[in-house]
Amino acid sequence: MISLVSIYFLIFLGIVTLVYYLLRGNAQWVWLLVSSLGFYALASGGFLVFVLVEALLIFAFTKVFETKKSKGLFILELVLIFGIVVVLKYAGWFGQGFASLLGQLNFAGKTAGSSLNYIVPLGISYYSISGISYSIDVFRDKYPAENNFAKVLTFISFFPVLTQGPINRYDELSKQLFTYHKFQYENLTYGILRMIWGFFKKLVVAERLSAVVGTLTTGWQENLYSGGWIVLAVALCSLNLYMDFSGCMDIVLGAAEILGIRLPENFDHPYLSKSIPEFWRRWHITLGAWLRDYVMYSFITSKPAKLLNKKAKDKIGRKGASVLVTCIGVLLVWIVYGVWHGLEMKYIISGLYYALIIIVATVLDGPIKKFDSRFPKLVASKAYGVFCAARTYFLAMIGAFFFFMPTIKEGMAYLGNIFKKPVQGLISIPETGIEKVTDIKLLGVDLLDFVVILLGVILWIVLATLHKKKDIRDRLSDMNIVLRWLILLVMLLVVIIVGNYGGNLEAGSFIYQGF
Amino acid sequence: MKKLGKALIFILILLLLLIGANALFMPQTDFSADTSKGCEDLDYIVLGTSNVFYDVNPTVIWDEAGYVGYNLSSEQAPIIINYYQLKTELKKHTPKVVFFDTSGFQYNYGKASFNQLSLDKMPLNFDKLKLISELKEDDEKDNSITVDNYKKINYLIPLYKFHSRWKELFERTVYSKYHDKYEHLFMGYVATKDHYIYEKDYPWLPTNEELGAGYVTEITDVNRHYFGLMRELCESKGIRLVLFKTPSKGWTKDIHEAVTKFAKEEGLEFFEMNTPEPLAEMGIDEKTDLADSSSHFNVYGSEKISRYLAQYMKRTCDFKDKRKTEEENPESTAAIWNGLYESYRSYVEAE
Repeated sequence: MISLVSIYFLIFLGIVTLVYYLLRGNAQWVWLLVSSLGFYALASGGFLVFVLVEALLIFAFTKVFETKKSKGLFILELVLIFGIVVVLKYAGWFGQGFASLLGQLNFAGKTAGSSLNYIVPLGISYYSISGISYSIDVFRDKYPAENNFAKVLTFISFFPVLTQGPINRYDELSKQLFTYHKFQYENLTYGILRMIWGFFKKLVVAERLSAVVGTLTTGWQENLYSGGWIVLAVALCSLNLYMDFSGCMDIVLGAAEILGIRLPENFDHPYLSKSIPEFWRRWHITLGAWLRDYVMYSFITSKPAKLLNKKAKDKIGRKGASVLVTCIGVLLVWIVYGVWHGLEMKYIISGLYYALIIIVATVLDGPIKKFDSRFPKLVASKAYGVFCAARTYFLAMIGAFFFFMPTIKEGMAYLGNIFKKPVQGLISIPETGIEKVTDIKLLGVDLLDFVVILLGVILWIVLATLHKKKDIRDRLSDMNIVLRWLILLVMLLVVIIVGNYGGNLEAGSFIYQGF
Repeated sequence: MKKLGKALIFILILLLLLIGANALFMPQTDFSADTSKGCEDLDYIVLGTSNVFYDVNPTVIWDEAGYVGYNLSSEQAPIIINYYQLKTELKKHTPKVVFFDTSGFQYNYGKASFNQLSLDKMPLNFDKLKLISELKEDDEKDNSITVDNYKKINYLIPLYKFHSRWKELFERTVYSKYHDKYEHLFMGYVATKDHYIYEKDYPWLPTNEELGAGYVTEITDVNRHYFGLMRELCESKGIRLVLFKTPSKGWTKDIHEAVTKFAKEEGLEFFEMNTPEPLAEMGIDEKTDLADSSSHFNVYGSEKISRYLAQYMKRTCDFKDKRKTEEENPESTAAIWNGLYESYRSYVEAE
């Protein structure tokens, strides 16, 4: 299988880029289409047929929507597209039967429900919702339908984004995809730099974190870990998810940039967020924007929502009605968010968890604003900012932790162990033979790996802070050649030598690839 | 153009650093013979597996018969690897005879872990690329053939696999730890004084059942193909190809019979040392001569095998005894080889 972190992808990208810049005019995007279909066939084999079928459906329906805005047809399209996704993605889940469903409903399910155990066509959730966004936009008359099927297929199958996004909009991406791109040295170097940073995050940091998180989050089965170990697991789950996912995005955005195509950012320093709504505007940005534009907006502007607003106005006032409709919209968005990740109860609960936090924040919006205006100095202080960021990080950390646990029930029980056996703490756990810190090899890594993780995280924080003020790549360009090359060579050697790949450490996939 | 020039220089520096890193992290298991001196008038090359590099000592053959040759063997090398090793080697040397150890007939493509060791010793050239593209792997369970492209990357770029040894830099053992694996080397022969006695009394030429192993028991198409290429290669250079098999408890009756039949069909000599007569003539003593459980011989056993092979060469090969003809100057073949043999004897006689 061709993975974004395999040497085959680099060879593939090299060949695609070389031919791409040798071609002129429309031949460039045709070459991108051929390459994308080739990439998908190499990565996912026969599942390519679903990409073709979905592209064909989307193309056909959007052509009809140009002349006939039929809601019935629109619903039919949604049913067909999401039907394919549901059948393929959740087929195994349905096969588990209702016993498992019932088990999960009362939080007693076992690991049987994990969708990650099934063969899911690569990127199906991503290309499906990108295609749906295009359909909705045409249906809403945002822009006309595309007349060329090959262009729709290129949009759906554009190879860098096939694995796990970002989720694109047709009007934004098509402007770049179907335009001739002259070779620009800066695109090449900036793209490569971004890819190197992505490889660093994924291979040097995330792969090591995965080993620790994998060990700690499966330890619940034998009740192996307690106290500080579980705290560590909770802390590392979100970091692992971020390093893995954002590392992938850096590789994807860098690869596209080499081809002269700027894809939308999916992360914007989410862990600096001061509230959960802000966190979700900075984490998986394109999914959040998709849910906002196509679920929230559709609901708010729908007839039932307007009717509810009207009726509620009489009873709880204009503002109260507005809050009520918003809260229902938020609930809907987060249920869709949960279902998008999988039909397991843990994903739905995870969605509801964020919905609850955002609803509380929405309901308390008035008192919060009052507090802010009453204590402006406190609110403006750095300490308060750090407190808000820490609070947000804590809430996001808990959310990420449950992603790694088989069910909510097991996750809760595991969290409970923090307090049940706190004495054993970080240093000594007799059942596992871990008696001193140097025995951390039992976690699938050794002390040097922890040092690498620590240094990697420090480097990430430093670079993220610098990047906020000025693009790191611009900073590198401004440096003298000796220093610039030295930094680049060190970075490349660190990725190549310290990266966890090759041998038995093949990094075949990304965590978010399964969704 | 200026930018392109800069980019090329950058890539060149990176490549040099990677070549350096490759050399630093690659296990130093190369025990290849140093053929830069004393091999100008080459009589033979011994080609095969570990059974050969532990069993055949060219310096003892020199002492016994005055013939010049070296060992070109690597760990559990399948015939495909032996063929490409020989092809590479024949670009530098042209021996009169190639003695081919038939152990490789017992598997098709062998195991990736062993093949990695063989390929690490080979220089990067077109033949190595061709070998990597053709090389597959035997499934240990049923000898079926599999392909793993990631292992091919490891063969091509050892750093891909061995970069994970970076942690050993902190133990300062990256070089020495592996370099010392084969300590006493004599023209591709690996000398050891280790001693091993089988707990169970295994017969010579056991059946697969007696051995409890699932070796290949017939001449497979893969082996027939690459052996055919090897034969063509030797014939094209006027080199005689002789099959031989040193004593081994892992050499089964089935494959012995298959190779005997195959050699007859091909009109080739097969010098088999696993039958009762040669075993008795060599005086192999299982109690003193074995080094390990894989039927590798220690210096005492290998000396018997090497002298016996030298006698076979005397009988069947038209080699010149260079002990008598060479002048005694330090650069002469005789001086070099006498020095090598003395060095070996010193090792044997040392405490």
